Amino acid sequence: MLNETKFVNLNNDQNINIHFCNNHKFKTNLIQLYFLQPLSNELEASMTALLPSILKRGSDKFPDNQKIVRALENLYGASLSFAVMKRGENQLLRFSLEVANEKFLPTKENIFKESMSLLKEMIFNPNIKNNKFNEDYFKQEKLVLANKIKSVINDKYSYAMERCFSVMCENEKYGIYKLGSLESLAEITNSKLYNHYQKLIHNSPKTIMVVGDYSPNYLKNAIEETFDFNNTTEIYDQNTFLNKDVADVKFEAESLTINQAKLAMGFRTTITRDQPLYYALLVYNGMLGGFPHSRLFQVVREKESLAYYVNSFIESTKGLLIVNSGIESTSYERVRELITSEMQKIADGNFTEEEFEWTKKALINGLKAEEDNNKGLTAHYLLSLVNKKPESLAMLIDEINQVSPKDVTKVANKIKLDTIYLLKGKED
Amino acid sequence: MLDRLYNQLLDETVYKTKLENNLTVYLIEKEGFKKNYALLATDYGSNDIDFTDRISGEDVTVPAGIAHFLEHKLFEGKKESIFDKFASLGASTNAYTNFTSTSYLFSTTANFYASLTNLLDFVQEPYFTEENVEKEKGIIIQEIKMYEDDPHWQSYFSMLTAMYQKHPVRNDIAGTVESVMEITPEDLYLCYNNFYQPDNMVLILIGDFDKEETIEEIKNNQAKKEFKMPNKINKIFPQEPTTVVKQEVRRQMNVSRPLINLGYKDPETNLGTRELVKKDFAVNMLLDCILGKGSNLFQDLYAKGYIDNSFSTGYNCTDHYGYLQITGETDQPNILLDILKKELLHIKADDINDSFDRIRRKYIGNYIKLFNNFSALASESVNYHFRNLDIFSVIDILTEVKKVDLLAYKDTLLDSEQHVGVIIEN
Repeated sequence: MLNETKFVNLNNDQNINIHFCNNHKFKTNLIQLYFLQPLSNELEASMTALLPSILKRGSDKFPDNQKIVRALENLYGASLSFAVMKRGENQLLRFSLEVANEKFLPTKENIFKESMSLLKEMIFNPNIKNNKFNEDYFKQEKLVLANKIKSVINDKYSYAMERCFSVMCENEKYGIYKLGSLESLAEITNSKLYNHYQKLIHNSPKTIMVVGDYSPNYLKNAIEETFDFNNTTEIYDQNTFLNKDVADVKFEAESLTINQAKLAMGFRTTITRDQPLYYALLVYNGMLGGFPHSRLFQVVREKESLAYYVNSFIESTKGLLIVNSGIESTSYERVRELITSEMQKIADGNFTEEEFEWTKKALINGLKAEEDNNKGLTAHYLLSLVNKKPESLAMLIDEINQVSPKDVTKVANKIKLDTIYLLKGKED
Repeated sequence: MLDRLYNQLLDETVYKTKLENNLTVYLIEKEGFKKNYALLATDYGSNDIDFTDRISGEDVTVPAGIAHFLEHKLFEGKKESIFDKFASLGASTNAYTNFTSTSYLFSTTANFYASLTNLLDFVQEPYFTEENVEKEKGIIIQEIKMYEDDPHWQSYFSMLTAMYQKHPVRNDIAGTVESVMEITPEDLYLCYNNFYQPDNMVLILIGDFDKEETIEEIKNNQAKKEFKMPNKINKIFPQEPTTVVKQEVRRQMNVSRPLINLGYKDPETNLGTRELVKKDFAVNMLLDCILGKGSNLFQDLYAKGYIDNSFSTGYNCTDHYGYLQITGETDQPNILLDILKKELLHIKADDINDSFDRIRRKYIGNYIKLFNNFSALASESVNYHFRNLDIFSVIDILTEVKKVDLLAYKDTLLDSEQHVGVIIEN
């Protein structure tokens, strides 16, 4: 039987990294192109973040955004999305295209190849004059990105988390926001950006992932016909510095006119996805704050009614863990104590067989369910690629099954509190 | 008896049956998928605060936010936490409340039947005490406060509150801190006994499972329970005037830049269910034609810097009300509201004629994509079921929408003084 969740490499004459998951059960076909760019400074980060917005505005053949949008709508609402992400101390650019499988269209017309040419056109054939991007697009998109950077504050949950990470990694590359800063954005000139673009498309590691209902040969040929770049560098992380030093716990508080205070506590796990203890870290995080049966939800919310949400999650490329909660400012100390004491209990091995087993089951259930989601499949495979450990969901499940309670306490004892960030109301 | 519905275009099959106790069950077959998904929903949401008690026959009014409170409280089992029970089975569970319905769900890759029994049991076996109701208030108040700091949510409800004089759609789904504080176990049992009866509910199952066996499991579970449904449900809605409360709202919040919400009150209500669904598609397609990313107006406003990608539009309707809304972040809220109000009065028929086929193709594509996504498929199936439609009839309705429908709605909806402009600013 065909393994419908496994990505295979499609070798090709152009040495393009193609990871293909041949899958029949979805109604759509998905193709994603990723570029990896090490985080080095805010200016570079801003430039990388600005590129997709400008590329989206128009290309050589589709000089304005309206033509692109209309072409996509005609392709039965093909969705083309460009995203900027941060994984470890890297920026990742994702160009993603999802189109209906033509099998299900009233006309059965082939829309995949046409969509793919459009994707290629947008990324590799921009609207350029005299080694510059279209000046209007450049100016407008700089403004749009500035507004996007400023708008982080509109979502207080994300804002608290971003602030916590930036205080925590103040002197590390990870402290750079994925979109750069307002100051660095202002420094970008059109020609600087064009040079950056040239560097990025020619030299950056890049990879293509496809989840679709095609024969490998058909797909390989279609990609070779469409894309004319040559590339051998895989999007492996070569840049992330694993900081193990925590001197004193940092504390930062900020006041805004808001109704609910946000607490974000940042920890160093020093465990990344390529380490053997990574699987135990997944179990640890699940027991602490990943699920409704987890310690934090049970104690802070269900037992003490102090919060509506309280959760934890890990960054597995940089080795971080963060706990988030929305609370009354006045319960800050109590909530902080509860969080640290629950973490201590797990570190002391003071947990039940039940919560340990339930967490494994919940993690495995979540991973198996990812197989039913084309974007879930690529998101998982992407992380494993970046961390130089390409593995299928099945392999990951296998590893989780082998984690012992002892491994969990071992992990728990490595985790150190680094930064506490509290966002509170003005009158509190 | 299972009724089989098959859609040739999509190559998808749905089975439907109504049990002896009047619970409707849909089984959506998804071969080759790993997870099974189940959603049990009641035709009861935040709008339903006035009704005739099925048992006493008296008209009652309950505090706002009670449907959402019930959703929280059903997770409290008599013996153990419902979250724990699902956790022991390796299933994940969740629930949500909207204006018109409340849904409980689980998703699992193991122990499907046990999880299904658990879902039916926890929703059908309420356990409310003074103590557990009081405890929940602290949690729900934190949830309300979280939404109080969400500018998009606040602009949406500012619009609804300014648009509706009487209809409860003007209330926040979770209610207010004050209305939540009032709620008692008796209130919860009253609402529960009225609306959580099988004749008012639907069960949607999606996945790769044995249909006959699954139906047997459900029947056996339901046969053990008794339900009291002496009279039909009678929800009471106030007569809503066609005029808005006020046309302008300004609120201060901590935001990076202003946010606008422009709402138009639909003067036409009380359509039949099929008509309602058709209208929902037609008006949303109209909005895509005139204000979607591919429209001249969107492109023009974007190039002038008045809007960005946060700009969006939408239309919602039920049998009692309908509204369309336009929302987005902007540095020029007053100018943007003025331009939109003016431009919407002068939409040319050509804007619709030129875009109709394109937008229609997009909607067909989106409908196909829906069958990738279990949670969206389940929630849409619920919406349509409560309008007496199944998920496949939707594509027929969508293809019935014609250009002239869009043109007609343009006139009735947009040539109206009944609009509300909200500005949220720092």
